[in-house]
Amino acid sequence: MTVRIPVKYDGSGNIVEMTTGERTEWYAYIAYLYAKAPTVTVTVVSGSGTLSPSGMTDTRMKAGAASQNASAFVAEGSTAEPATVTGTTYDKITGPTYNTDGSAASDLGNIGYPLYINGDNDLQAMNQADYVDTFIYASLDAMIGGTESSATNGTYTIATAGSAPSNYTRVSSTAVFVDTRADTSAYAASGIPETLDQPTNVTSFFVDRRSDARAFPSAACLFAEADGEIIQGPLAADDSTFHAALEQDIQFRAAEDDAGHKLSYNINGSGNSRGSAIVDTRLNGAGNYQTRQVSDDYRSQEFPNGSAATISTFTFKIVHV
Amino acid sequence: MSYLWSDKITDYYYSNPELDTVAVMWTDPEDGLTREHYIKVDETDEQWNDFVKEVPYDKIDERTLAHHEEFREQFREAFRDWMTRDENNMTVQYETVYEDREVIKEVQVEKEVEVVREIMTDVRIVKEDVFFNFVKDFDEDDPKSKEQLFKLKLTIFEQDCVKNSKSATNFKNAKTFIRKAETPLNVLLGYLVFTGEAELQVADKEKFEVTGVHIPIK
Repeated sequence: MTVRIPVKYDGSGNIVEMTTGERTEWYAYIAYLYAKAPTVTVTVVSGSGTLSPSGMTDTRMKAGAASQNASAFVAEGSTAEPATVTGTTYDKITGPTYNTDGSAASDLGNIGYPLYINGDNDLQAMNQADYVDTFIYASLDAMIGGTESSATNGTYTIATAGSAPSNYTRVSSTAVFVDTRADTSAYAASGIPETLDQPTNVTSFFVDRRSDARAFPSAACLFAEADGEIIQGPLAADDSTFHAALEQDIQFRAAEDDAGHKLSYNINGSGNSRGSAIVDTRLNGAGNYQTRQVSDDYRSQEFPNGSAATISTFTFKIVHV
Repeated sequence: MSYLWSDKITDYYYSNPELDTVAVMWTDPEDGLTREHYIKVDETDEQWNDFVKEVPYDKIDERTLAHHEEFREQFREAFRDWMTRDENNMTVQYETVYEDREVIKEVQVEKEVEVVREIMTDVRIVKEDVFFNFVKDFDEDDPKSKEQLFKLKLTIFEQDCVKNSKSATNFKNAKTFIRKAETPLNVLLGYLVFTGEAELQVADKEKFEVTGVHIPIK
């Protein structure tokens, strides 16, 4: 793999190598070109998703059954304990789905790609392999980073916010997992016998896709012409031959690369986590024993209590395959 | 670094006894609601590594202890409320106990110390059995055993030699080793690193992959 450092005109009569920040702007721009029509997609379905693992089940605690006695309260030890409710099993994430209709852009030739400074300190045009390593693979590497930014445009994450944050698009308003817990405020001694299962939704998990607006790089690449002149490539236009190649290649390589840069997603597999881990939590207390006397009717019941403890964790990850 | 939680964190703590998942509470500026974001403890994951750069392990330990204490205090408060309710008719007893409790506590502690002394003298083997049995009969699938393991880890993290340990890589790795330990024996092996009686063996220095604990013969 040969990653070149593209050169730019610095505005003061010098040709210099682009900075790391300027190259990152290019990765973000290329990610934008990818995000125009992502070729690796994740969708939210009503059931039988292909990505969600088995066992993504929401659980919570419910109250134990109430006890009644005509002369005295049934002791704590004999009153039914809170029990676990096995709620909904979620299987709503499908993907990654690959659009394999694309193809690699044709070779733009000896002078079709940007210039770099070679080992002899001469300007040289990249060849197609250099260009793929420098622009396409480097962008795909940035796209699987754990840190979400404009360089991860077009990739997916798990969000807990009520609506998609700025720079994100909610894939579906349907949550892919809803974590519920017993609503301790819903249980009262005065209500004994209380309804056993009184849940509240604690956290809803959604699939969002990064969707930054277009931002052109601040540094233009330099190209050679047939007569040996050097020209500055277009910046604020993405309809040049070179930009068209970037768009075609990033969309093709993301879905069909056979050299280990294809994008993929999984849950609890390898790769970098994206967004919040999906968790099933429930209260971990031993039971809140409460009593109520109505004339000669002595009632007792144990309500769910304790603090929330995570029972299962499912981490959505992005990786190259 | 750009995460939803980056500049909006209001709290964070381990959310399970295994200490392998952290709950990050963050306030959503859109609606002002505090939401939960979870990160799995995974030192090969960029998000986790970025998180511990902002919030060191020690701080997570501190907030976890504080979170548990807040919950215990809520429980105490609820218990006091229950005792002092008219229908329970325990106000007088409660107040008496409350007022005298410091004196009573001191007497009780003295008695308990005396009893423990006797036990230690006469039946020392029993105490040792209790500890040995905890290690020997530890059941990873038993919730009570897991809870005891969790308490043991918290106790270890509270020890001065652990709390005051330098940020040297071997101590960081030892803390991770303890945090990930699935048996009390492994927790204690990790503790020996802090007491200077053992060294960690690391297979891959880049990834800090601990393969074992070496105890030199002295």
